[in-house]
Amino acid sequence: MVKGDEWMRFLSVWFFITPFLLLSCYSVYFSSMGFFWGLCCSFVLFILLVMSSGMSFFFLIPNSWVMMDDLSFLMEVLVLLVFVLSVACSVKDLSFPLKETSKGLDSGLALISLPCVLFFCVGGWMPFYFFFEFSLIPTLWMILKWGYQPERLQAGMFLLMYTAGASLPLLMCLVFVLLVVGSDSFILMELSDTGYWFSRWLLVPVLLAFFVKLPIYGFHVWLPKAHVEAPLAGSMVLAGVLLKLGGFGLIRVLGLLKVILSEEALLLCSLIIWGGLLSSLISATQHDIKSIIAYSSVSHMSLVAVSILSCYPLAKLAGVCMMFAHGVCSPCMFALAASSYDWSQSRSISMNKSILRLFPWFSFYWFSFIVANMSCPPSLNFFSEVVMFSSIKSIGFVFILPLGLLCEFYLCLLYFFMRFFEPWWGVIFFKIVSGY
Amino acid sequence: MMQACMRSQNVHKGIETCLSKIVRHLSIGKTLQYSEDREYRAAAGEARSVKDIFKEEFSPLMKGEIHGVESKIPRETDILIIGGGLVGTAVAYFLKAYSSALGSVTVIERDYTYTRASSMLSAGGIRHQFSVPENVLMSKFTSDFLKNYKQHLSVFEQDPPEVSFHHQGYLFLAPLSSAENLENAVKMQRSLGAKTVLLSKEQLAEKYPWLNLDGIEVGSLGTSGEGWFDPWQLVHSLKAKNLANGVRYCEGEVIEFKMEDVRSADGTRKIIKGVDVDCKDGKHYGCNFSCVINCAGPWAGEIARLAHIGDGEQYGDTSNFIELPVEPRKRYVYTFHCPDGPTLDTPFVIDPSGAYFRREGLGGHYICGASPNDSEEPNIEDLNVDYDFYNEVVWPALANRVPAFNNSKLKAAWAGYYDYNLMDQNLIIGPHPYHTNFLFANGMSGHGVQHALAIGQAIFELIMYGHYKTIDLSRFSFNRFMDDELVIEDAIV
Repeated sequence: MVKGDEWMRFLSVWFFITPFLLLSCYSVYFSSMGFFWGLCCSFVLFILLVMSSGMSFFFLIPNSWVMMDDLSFLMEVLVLLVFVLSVACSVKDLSFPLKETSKGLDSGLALISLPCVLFFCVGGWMPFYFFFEFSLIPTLWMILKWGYQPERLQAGMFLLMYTAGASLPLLMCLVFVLLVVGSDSFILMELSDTGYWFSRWLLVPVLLAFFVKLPIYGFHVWLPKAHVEAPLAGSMVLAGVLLKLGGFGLIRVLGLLKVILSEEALLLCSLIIWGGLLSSLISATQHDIKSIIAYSSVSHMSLVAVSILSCYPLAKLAGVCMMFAHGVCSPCMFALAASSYDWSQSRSISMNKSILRLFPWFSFYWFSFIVANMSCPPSLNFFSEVVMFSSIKSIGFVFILPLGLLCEFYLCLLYFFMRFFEPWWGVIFFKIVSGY
Repeated sequence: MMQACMRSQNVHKGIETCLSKIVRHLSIGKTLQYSEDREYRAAAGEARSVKDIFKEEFSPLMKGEIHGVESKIPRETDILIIGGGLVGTAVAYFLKAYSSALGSVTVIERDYTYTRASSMLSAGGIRHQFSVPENVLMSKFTSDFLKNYKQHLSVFEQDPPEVSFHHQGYLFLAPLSSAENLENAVKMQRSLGAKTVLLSKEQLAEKYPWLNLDGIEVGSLGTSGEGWFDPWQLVHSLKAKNLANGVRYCEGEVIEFKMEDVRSADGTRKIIKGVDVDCKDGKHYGCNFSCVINCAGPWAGEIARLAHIGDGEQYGDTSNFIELPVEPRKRYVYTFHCPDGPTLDTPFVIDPSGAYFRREGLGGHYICGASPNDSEEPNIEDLNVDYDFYNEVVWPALANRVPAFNNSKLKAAWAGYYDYNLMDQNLIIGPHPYHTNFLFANGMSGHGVQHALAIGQAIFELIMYGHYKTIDLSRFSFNRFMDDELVIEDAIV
């Protein structure tokens, strides 16, 4: 190896690590307040720094089964982060001695995370599809075992049927591609001229699977049901990672099929944006906190889908940023919702009011994550949404209107309820009066 | 204040010894005998075996049985209301009528036929004539609601609701010794907007020639908004509206409250997490809730005991030492017929001796009754009627007051329970000071039916806003027993 290469590697490693070291001091500042979510903020800032440094373009292909590039690496970081967060937030369920009711939670969590970790570093389309589907089974198991209502079976069926039903066409297309090209390896696909052989209509069944996974409005029904029924750790992994399987897959598939911005893609984009707007409006009418966060996830993912479909490199970058930011922000909000549920035994907003009066730090954390979700600076969501808007308006200026309306509704109502409503609220007020 | 607490504690413990123990011994509240080895369905948040879930889901396919997906009792609910009588149904109505977004509301009632419910066995009278201002305001609220009940309670595509409200005033008669009290009460009622008038002896004689006014100095008559209605119909109208609004009704009996130890500012404390409900299908169900409202009527004391209210010493908490002082007390209502008694303009007459009567229908029938002295309290074991009480106490008083009743014949009678508040016979509403998610709506001691709607509105405001907005009922909180600030009502019938 050339000496210069070694130096380059050494420098790049240190360049990589230094911001993390600097930011770890920052995170210590946060954690000293008892705010372990402050670690999330520091990770968010770190990723922003890394991505803006422009040095995150690399390929790692040790063998034909594993391929890591900058996107995979980012997603692996996200999986690790979300997994650590979900374990940290379910500490009271996972502490030894294991309660009767928590038996299997640890293995379920690991089983959900394993296919996700493997999904982002596979080197071929068949393993890609396998891990895409395999992540469903532990999710279904967690929903059924710890679900809250008898409707959990319905939630599980929705999840299973939607995802499996939509992805079978994807399997057919991938097998077709395999037969035509002769190999399913990512690298070898690049060598063959796949764009020439396939019609534009192959895009539809392929995209369908990812639209259900993301989810896009119209195929989104399973998400609120699954979130409401899942236990905390399951919800966090579902929101943080499983939705990103769809986004990641979308990017890979668009690369495979050499998609260009055509009329069909433009039609899809307009439908997706409109669905995102509708989903934000629905989110503002929910009374279950988890439902609100779930519907806002649908809106965020619709933006991700549009920015990826718009085929601009900057938009793709912004979409990836949004996936990461949402993947950090959403699990934290679910954790906060679970804390609220722990306190008041209810997931309804009306029964969780006036936390500002009683738990100022807790309501600060709610505030910071809600406004981050709303894409307020200086969060990563803000950066990604600004870049997304400027890219999406390039494909059609009319998109400005629904996009503008979209961001207003992200959880504003939830925040409003929890903070600005009548301060003298019943149950919690009584609790503090009695010296709880 | 400490002495007052100790005093009320001792007094209450004294009462508790003689009457509550009888209640507990007779276990009058328990209709079902349950054994510990019934199948238990876990409450929300607890894991269930996935194999069992699938087995249950596919058992209709294998065995050919059909049963609904919904379990009998929900695994969790936001607000649980124990008791499906008038008070419980009214609370559920106001909670859901405001907005279905408040959360899930579940009502648990153990007897859908309401065979012993106080609401159904009540005479159903509504009067504005109380000596406590809040009671007056609550009755006025109910009158106003019943004026527009068709607007409030109509359900789309169903028959319009009915309450059969009969408009007739109440007439309280007072001798010279209590004339001033009555006058002050009327003044207070008029200041609150109730249309009560004070009638002198001459005016009474002119208005009601059939009334014997010996020993009577003044009378107070309610001229608007008073009367009687059918509480059975009101409960069913409210229930229909509740079902349309998404309230969930469940049939089962609450047998245990589940507590959880949590960390608090000063060590650990217990919070009420959920209930165990016994169902007729042979299973126990666990149901977790955020907030529970005790609307169990006469058996509210038992429910409170199950929730360990008054048992603080066991857990080392000295603030939770007062039990809920509510007990069932049996009261009789007799129907008699008098061919030449007072007719259409007969008010609901309340004699100074405590006996009362009113017209029932237009065929010469009347309803009457009286409250016995403390020493003559009837046995609460069953709802059998004591006819000697009529012959010895009620009829002589009424025959004295209305000479025409000398020629009357007893036709029928029934008995019902008052949810009697041992301390001051007034409403107990609001949260318990220790178990803050346990709300009371008990102890109305005979005027529950006319205050139920106002109580429902008050509970809704308490949960939604944290304070009372329409009528300020903070005087009726449970804390008054600890602070010894009882609210005494003079006009108890």
